[in-house]
Amino acid sequence: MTKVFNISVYLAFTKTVFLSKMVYKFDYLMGILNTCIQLFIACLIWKTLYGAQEIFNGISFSMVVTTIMISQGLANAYTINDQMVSKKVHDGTIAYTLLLPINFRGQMFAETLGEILFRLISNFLPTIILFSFVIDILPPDSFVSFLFFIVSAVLGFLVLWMISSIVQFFAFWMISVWSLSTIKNVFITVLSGAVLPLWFMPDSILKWIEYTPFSSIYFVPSRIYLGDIAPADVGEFFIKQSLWIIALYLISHVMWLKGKKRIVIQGG
Amino acid sequence: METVIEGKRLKKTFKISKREKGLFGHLANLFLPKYIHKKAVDDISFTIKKGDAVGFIGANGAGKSTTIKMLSGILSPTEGSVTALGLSPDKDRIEYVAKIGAIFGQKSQLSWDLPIIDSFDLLQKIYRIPDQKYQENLAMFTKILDMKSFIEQPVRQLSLGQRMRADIAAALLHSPELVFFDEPTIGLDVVAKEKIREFIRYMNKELGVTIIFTTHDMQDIEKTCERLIIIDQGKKIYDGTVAGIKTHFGSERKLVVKFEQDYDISEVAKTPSIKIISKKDRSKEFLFKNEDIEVKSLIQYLFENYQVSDLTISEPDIEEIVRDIYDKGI
Amino acid sequence: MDTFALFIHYSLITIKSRFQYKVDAIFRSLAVFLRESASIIIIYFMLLKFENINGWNIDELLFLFSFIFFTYGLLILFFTGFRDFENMVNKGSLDRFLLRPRGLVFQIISSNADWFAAIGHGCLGLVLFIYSAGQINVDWNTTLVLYCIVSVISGVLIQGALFLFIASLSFTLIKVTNIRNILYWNTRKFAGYPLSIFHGSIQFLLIYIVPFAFVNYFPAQFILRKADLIDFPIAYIYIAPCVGFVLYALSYCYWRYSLRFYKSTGN
Repeated sequence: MTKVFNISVYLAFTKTVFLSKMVYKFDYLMGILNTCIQLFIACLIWKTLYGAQEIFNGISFSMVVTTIMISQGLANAYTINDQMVSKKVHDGTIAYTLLLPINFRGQMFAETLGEILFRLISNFLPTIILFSFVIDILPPDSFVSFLFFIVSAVLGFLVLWMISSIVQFFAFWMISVWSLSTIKNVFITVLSGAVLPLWFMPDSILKWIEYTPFSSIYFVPSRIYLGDIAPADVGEFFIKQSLWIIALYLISHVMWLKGKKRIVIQGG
Repeated sequence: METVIEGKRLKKTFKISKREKGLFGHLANLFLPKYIHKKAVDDISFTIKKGDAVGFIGANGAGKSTTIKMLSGILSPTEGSVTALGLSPDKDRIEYVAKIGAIFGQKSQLSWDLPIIDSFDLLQKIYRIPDQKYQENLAMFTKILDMKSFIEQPVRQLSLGQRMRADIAAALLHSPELVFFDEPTIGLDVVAKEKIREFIRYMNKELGVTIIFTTHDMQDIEKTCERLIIIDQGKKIYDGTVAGIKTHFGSERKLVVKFEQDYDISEVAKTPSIKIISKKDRSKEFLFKNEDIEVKSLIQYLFENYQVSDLTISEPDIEEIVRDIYDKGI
Repeated sequence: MDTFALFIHYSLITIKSRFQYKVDAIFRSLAVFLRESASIIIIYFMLLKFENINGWNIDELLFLFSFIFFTYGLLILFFTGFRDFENMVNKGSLDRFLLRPRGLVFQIISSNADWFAAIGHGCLGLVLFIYSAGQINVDWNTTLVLYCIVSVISGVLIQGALFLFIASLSFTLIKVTNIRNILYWNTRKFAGYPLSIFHGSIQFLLIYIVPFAFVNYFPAQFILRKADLIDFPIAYIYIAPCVGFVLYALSYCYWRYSLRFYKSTGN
């Protein structure tokens, strides 16, 4: 069985999803509204917490707001449907899918990419621009920081993708992975710093977060953007992000191979 | 025979919101929707007697499903009235639907993940079927519909034919007097279709259940129903026996003639009621209506003026007629 | 009685079908519990550093939140069908319900009761309520207990009325998902926090348009009497237990009225 490894095929998937999303103009306005409300509430609460103070524990209000904008904005854009494999196992189409001359994981990734690019352009950018008129969002610390931020944000997405793949492939054994996916999202919400910037995390917990991939997803990119991680120091963080991607990929790959074998033996 | 359903001058008009294009239109839609009125059913009347098996056919959007939905109490007519089993389907809904059954070929009422027996048990509670009657019916349908082998299996593991049989049993557990079948054979293979038809015939003939049937498959109708109602563009265009449809619609005949040589036959075509639908070399096809042209004289004329080597006359079969109606409807 | 037995039977069926995927089913309630706890954990960490938000300390905030979670737990036991109404209509379930000899609202409620999510939300609400009420040292008496019970029911009905109202709209409008997102889900995001931290227009929204304030803020204030209550008419803490009943009755009438526009275009 030969699988297609022509990249243009996968780019076509990306493009299809991107274009199909554009059809629903109204939905996308609603998406912006949702994000705005969410960010608005977050800003309001931080404003109330800061009160008259400008700086708390060495962190300025503007820094907090900027981190929230970036990491929650990215979190809203990085939506991965964790049910892709599960749905196919449930309705029995997985065996058929595996026989297609297309790399299924490649297709999943390409389609997700289409959705995410769409959300970055249609949701993330407009909300950031909108909010920059109302609230003091800090500009990137320097041009270099901005470039490094982009690289780091891409790596952050890959970390998230790998975690999601692992959860998805559990469907080979569990069929429905709704619970697992939800629990995973809880960990990401709390520990990634997307909602509560990790500066405000109690030290006892912060110590443990060091050993998890969660801070690599949103918080490291935000810190690079702010210059909280100086351009000279980013190397260490890039390595850490990359190591997580590789480690998580290996786990998901083993699961994929075992799971696929299981499907072939059972015939779906 | 006692009347089971009486539909009097049924009309159903839908208010459909008109979709506007573009973002502004979308917003305008949300706050100031514009409506157009569409007549789905336009003045249909009929009577169905106890023990009848009636097929309803019509193109998609012809008003067939709307009619069935009014008969089963899902929709209320805009004008006119339905009396079924002595009740008004929409006003006495709960009392009425306890006495009817409905099967939708495309939508199962069974739980996808559970053994079908669990769905049956739930239906017993919903319809308040007494234990003894429930057990009797269950045993009977398990036997007739041959469900024993899969009654403990979840629906997702069943073949379409098995699922359909289980769905039919589910709709009949409460011994309805009147049963609606909506496309019950859709997507099934020939053997499975035959099984379902056989059962429907049995129900109708042996158990005396009145049956209303909609389908796209003429064979279903021919094998199960004596009576046919054709609906087109919201109106009833035929109500009678299945055989009668030929005389009603099938008055066109086709004459295929093979001549000895390639004649110029424009002479024949001068008669206004004869249409030449194909002329290929020596083979010509003529179309004409019974009432306009006597077959005998046409053939005689051809034999007298040309050298004919072969000749066939065909009447369109029911399926063809119905397909015509459908095509026209769409 | 027969109706109640059927509700239970329906519930058992839904639970059993979820248990076809055992591991997932076992973790389902826990997953919901954790998912909803996430926001609480974050607020808890926040207040470890900042101590209070507009004069409300962590225990008082948790008390405020507990109403949101507990009422939602009961809400999805009864109103999931109305929450996901269009899905149900598209699947043809409404046609099926109309063909069965039982009340329509009853069938929509009982065939969709989501026990797993209800347990997750409800337990979180209960844990928060018991813990925070203990910390705050509420001086319980019969009136207070009665007030709380009726307020919770009213809180469920306020949200139920919203779902029912939006579901009714779907008979005349094409798509109501967006309306529900704006009216319910987006507004709910504000609802956990003390009303007083918001701008006047948002307060107006939460009191008079999508009255979440009567689900948690006013009932909690009946017990807490925090200083910021001065911004609002004091009478509101007394009428809070009735609001839900009135709204639900109105919504139900609208539902009955709208049902006649049902087009059954599922297929």
